[in-house]
Amino acid sequence: MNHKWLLLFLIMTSTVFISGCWSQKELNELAIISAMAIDKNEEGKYVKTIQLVNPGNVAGGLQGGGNGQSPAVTVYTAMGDSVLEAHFHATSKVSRRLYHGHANLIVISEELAREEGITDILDAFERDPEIRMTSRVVIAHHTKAGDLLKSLTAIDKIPAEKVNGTIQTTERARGESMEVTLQDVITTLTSAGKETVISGFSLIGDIQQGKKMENVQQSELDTTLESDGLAIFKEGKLVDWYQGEMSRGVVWILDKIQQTDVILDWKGQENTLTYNVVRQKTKVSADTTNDLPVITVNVRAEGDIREVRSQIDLTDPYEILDIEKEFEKEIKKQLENTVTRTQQNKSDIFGFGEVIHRSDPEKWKKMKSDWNDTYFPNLKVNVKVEAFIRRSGNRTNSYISDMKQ
Amino acid sequence: MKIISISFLMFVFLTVFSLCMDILLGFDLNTSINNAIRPFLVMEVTEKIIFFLLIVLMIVGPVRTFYNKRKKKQQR
Amino acid sequence: MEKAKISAYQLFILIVLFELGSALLVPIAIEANQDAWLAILIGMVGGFCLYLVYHGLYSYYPDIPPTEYIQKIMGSFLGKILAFIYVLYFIYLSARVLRDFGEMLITSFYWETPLFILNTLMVLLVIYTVRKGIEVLARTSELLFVLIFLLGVSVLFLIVVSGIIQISYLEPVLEEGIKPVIKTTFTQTLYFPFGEVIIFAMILPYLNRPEKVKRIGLLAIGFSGLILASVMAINVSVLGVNNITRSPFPLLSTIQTIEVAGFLERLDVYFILITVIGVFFKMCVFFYASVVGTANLFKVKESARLAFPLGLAILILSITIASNFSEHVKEGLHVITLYLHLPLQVIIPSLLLLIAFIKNKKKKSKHSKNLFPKRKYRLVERDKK
Repeated sequence: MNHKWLLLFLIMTSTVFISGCWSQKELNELAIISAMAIDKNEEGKYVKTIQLVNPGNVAGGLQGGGNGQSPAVTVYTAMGDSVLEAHFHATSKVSRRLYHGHANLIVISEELAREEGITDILDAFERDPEIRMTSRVVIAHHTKAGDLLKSLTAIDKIPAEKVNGTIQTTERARGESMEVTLQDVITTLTSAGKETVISGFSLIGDIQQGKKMENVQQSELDTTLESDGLAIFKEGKLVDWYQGEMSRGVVWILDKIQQTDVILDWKGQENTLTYNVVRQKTKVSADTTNDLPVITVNVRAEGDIREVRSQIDLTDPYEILDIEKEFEKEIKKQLENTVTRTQQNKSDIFGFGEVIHRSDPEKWKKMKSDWNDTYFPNLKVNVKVEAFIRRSGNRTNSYISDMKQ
Repeated sequence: MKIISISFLMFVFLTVFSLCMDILLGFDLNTSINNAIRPFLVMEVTEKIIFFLLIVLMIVGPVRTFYNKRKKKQQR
Repeated sequence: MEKAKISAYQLFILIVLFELGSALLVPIAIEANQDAWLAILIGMVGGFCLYLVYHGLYSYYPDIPPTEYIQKIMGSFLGKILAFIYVLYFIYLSARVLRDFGEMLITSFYWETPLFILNTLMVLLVIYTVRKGIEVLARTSELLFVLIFLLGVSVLFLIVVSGIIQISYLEPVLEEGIKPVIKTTFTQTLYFPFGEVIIFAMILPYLNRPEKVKRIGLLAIGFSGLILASVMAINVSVLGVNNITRSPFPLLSTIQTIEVAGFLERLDVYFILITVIGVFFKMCVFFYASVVGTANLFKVKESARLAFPLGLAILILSITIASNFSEHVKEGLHVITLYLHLPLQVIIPSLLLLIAFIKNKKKKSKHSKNLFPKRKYRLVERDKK
């Protein structure tokens, strides 16, 4: 009987020890990082900026009135010879243990990406089990990467959330940006048939103003963050920057467009029709019968007419057919422009190489080593677009038709 | 007693076994022995206590049975 | 040998959990790149053949564990040595599984905790279970199988819903032809995890219905083979070939990529749960077989008392087998498959089966000679009548 009581006692006391462990971290001992940024300064050292969340100020702002409150994030900067070393130096500035589990955003400066490329800096991120591979990556355009983190934003208390949210919304609504996760970047870096594309973000205004709380307390902010096109890479180095229709072309060929607008000139009048693509499907196929493969991009888009600025008769199906044809031409032109410019950049960001790899591995083996420089720029790319106009919103013809009568 | 001796025997054979594996991998004998002993040199205090406790537990059981049997024999 | 009996369903679950145990943890057949799933399916077929060999041996000696019938087949002295080697082999394998498990926990979550402590916790659990006997183990497996099944199905659902599967990563199929696939199968996948079914030769005598052994075993190997192949296919289709070859625990990386509805992220705990249960069973089975085998060889009456010392030996062994992770992996992929798995799982059992077959043929012919004396008696009886 004594044995049993002793055993029971032991079991109960050991449960006390189970609740903690060697690597235990209490919540108030953690500094939660929401974003990280990497720059390079003039001396050639890596500058790492981390954006920490001030938990008390994130929710409290709603209750406290917002005046004189401290911002929801704090930003620290540190330097080092490698990314990880810079990171370690940052720990000397923070009173708590840095926790990366919620670091959703990694910003890399354009300068660093152009000069050195991103291949060397991402290994520490990939290896650490605490950093999620689903963190988004963004390139800072015309700004220092750290400045993107320092600027305070309205509506979203944590600027990292704003950056991620903006990119997501832009991707969904306009298709000029793409959510790129760390995993995507590394997959495309290691892949021979596809080059990296990363969305860009820029700072409008003055960073010194942006750091202050007053920036957020105005109706029109002096300093804001804006999504700014796509950064095109070749073998890990930034080579070009696409904006507007060009960047949308890239996203289109990558089949990531969810909704977008195409504007059309009609019968001499500029920018008369706006077509909102609601659904689209893009298929890329390769024909490897000749020495130089022929790539076909098949686009099928479906959408509505959303803005009319002239007297077009939208109730007439034949008219709609004509409009569809015009749209197909316009989309085809934009996509072909994008392909031409990318071919000039000699960087296969569309993954045409991967498509060839999948359909004809033998041919791909021969072309793999020179793909970006020799074969890709000379590829013949056929773009076939089928656009369908389904509806025209809550009105058929524009009131402009009635007015001019 | 038998049990302790069996397990010790097995342990000796197993260590030889794992050293053989290391040697097959290409390391020489000195490196393999070093590889085997090194982890035990970096143990923290708590680890050492637990290790010691486990060995004690292992020995105590059979030793106690042994003594009990002896007592029974003596009692007869 | 205990006087316990396990049911057919329990055997099925034991084999499935055993196979899935550490095979879900490590990247099996990854040397075949995107055709890993094919290599696993072929390995599964190989596993069927191996199982039939072990079953053949079982059918010649249905009630005694392999450590005894090896002695019967090969003679007392040689048989004892061979059985001893097998017991050492089982202990070594369980130490490897333990090491795999400890490394995984440390790499992903507990990187400050020493390996010794993590291994101790698992070993103590396994020792306790094995002391209680095979019936307890089988019953526990029934319960935990349901849990693993539910976890697995929900993880699969989440992976599909989060849309991270890209089937195009599985192409081009058979990029370099069938040769690399076959090579991977015969140098790795056949032995780990399918060849390890040899351990069940020690457990088959406990089955309460000997005639079902063949069917259950084949079904279990088939089932676990299909699951492993599909898990590997999902891993490749989520991560892509390049990422998966650099990842020590591909299923963990896959589960880390799950992002559903904006808040279901960081679901690594699923992986940990599945692995803990799987590894626990694998170790229990290996360990149980080693304890029973040792007790049998050295004529110890209470095999349960051997559990603790042997467990301690496994614990220490798991620390000494490799001093770093890459040594551990390299040993497992190159050294062990060639020098241990191939002879002990394939060659020797086939030889044993052959010898047993020949011996039994001789027995049958001896039997037919024995019939004659009976007939003589009958004739005499008739004469008497």
